[in-house]
Amino acid sequence: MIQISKKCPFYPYKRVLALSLLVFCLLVASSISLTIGVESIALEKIFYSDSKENELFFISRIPRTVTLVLTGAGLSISGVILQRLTQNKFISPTTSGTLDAAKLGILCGLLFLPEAALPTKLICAVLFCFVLSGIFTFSISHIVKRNTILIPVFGVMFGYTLNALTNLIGVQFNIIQNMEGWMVGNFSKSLKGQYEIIYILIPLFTCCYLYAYKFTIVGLGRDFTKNVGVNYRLIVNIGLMLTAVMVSTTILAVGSIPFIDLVIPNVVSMIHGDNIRRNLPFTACYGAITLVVCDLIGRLIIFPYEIPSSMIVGSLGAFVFLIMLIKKGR
Amino acid sequence: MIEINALNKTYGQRTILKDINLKIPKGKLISLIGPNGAGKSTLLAIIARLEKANRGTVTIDGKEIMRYTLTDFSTKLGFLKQHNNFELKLRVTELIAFGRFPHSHGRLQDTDFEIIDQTIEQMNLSSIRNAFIDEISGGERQRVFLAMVMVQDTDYILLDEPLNNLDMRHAVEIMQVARRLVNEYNKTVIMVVHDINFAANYADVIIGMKGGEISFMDTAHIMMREDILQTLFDIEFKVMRDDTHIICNYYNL
Repeated sequence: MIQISKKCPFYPYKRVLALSLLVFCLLVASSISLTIGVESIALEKIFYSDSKENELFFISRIPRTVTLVLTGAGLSISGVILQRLTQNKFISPTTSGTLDAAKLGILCGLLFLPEAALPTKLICAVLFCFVLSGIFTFSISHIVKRNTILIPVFGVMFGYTLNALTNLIGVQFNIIQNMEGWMVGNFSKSLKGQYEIIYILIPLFTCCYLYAYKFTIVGLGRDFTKNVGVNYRLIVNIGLMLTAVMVSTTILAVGSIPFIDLVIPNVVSMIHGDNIRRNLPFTACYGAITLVVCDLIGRLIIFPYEIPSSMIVGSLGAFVFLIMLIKKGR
Repeated sequence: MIEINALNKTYGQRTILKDINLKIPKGKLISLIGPNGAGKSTLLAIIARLEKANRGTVTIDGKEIMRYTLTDFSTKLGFLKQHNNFELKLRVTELIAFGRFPHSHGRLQDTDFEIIDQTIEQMNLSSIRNAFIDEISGGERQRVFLAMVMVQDTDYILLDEPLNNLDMRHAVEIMQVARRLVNEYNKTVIMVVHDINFAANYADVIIGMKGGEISFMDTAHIMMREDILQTLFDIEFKVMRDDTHIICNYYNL
């Protein structure tokens, strides 16, 4: 028998190799994303500081690609955390009303503090996300005991209810157009001066990584968590807070991107297993690559116009989700 | 020593535990026996702080259990539930490593890996150490869970029906491991066992529970009497014994 090194009993080389391959794919996808656009760019000119290429590159292309990568990673990570906290692989911000809660929060921000800057809106969205998805997560565990696909159905219903409320308020106060335009996940508005809020995600990723081990433990159930001396409620609240901030940030920066937070964690789980700390880099890479590629498709499919990437992600994601459901049903 | 004083537990109208008073000695293998619904699992869950009693106190080594901090308690007492359906795709070694959390707080050191490796060896899990837990058999999973509680390295180990899903060979192995934990490592193991022959031949002390009360508590030799077992389980028993072994027949009387 091959003696496995005692210090790293989990095949480290294979993992490092797989991860570097993924990072490489991400780099390739990102560089394609950087070079494709209505205005073709002569690469050698971007380094001249006063050229048109340079301007285009730093005002539009780089912000867009950075936003794509960070959003993709952020959404997948919030998906995987929410799955662990609820112990249900079909729960994600898309299917538990988190997206809609954030929307409602932003609406209230617009309504009551119309002059407020982005951070205030973010705080509103985060508060709504945290409270509403908290309510959903804990009330649902009392209604439906076992790990079923019923829970996301309730989640989607909850989301629609919140959405209806948002629309009602929006229509009453005549800001519905404003909202809708904003909410469709679209990266064409990620421009210099507007996209910087997405950098909030980077410190959040670090937090997620630090708590990742505890999130996996929480995923093994309340009793198990208590038995190994982890404060269950505290970790659940931290997790909910982290996902609320991440989801709200991406919504403020680009609008709602559905399904990526649901599908990517499941794909990672199938390929690499469910140890979050080990797989967080994988989750982030898969999410980022998927979003960059979907955005590329959206930009190329009716070139020189573009389809919002949320639509591409939505239709592809729904398809994959359907396959997952059928497989689970068997 | 675990001391239980006037412990009461009710779910709604139903009384699960009635005025339990118990002194569980340290460094012994203790078996809890009794019919279904006697309150054995609830009693263990209360000792492990997973359920709250309505009245009464539980004291471990002279300190009320609620006064332990989370970390202290998790290094004092480990508990393996009866049903552990983890739906996570984790590797055997990863899952066992979670048992080290109270000591390592997520950063496994060399000593942690040594203990994990030793336990894997002891529990005969070497061949599946890198398998995912949803790919192994029920008996193997049971042994993995047990290994997880073992690496937690607590003074008290509470096991709720650890012999579930195990064939005879593995059941015997688990009982031998439990015996070794008591004899060599001076642990206190409290287990709910349904096969009373295992209780009779391995346990130092047997506690019989019925209807939320402690009916009997004594050493195996005294406990294994036909009249005692009959009042406990309401079926006929025939106890056969020689110098070293006690066998109860209740299959066809």
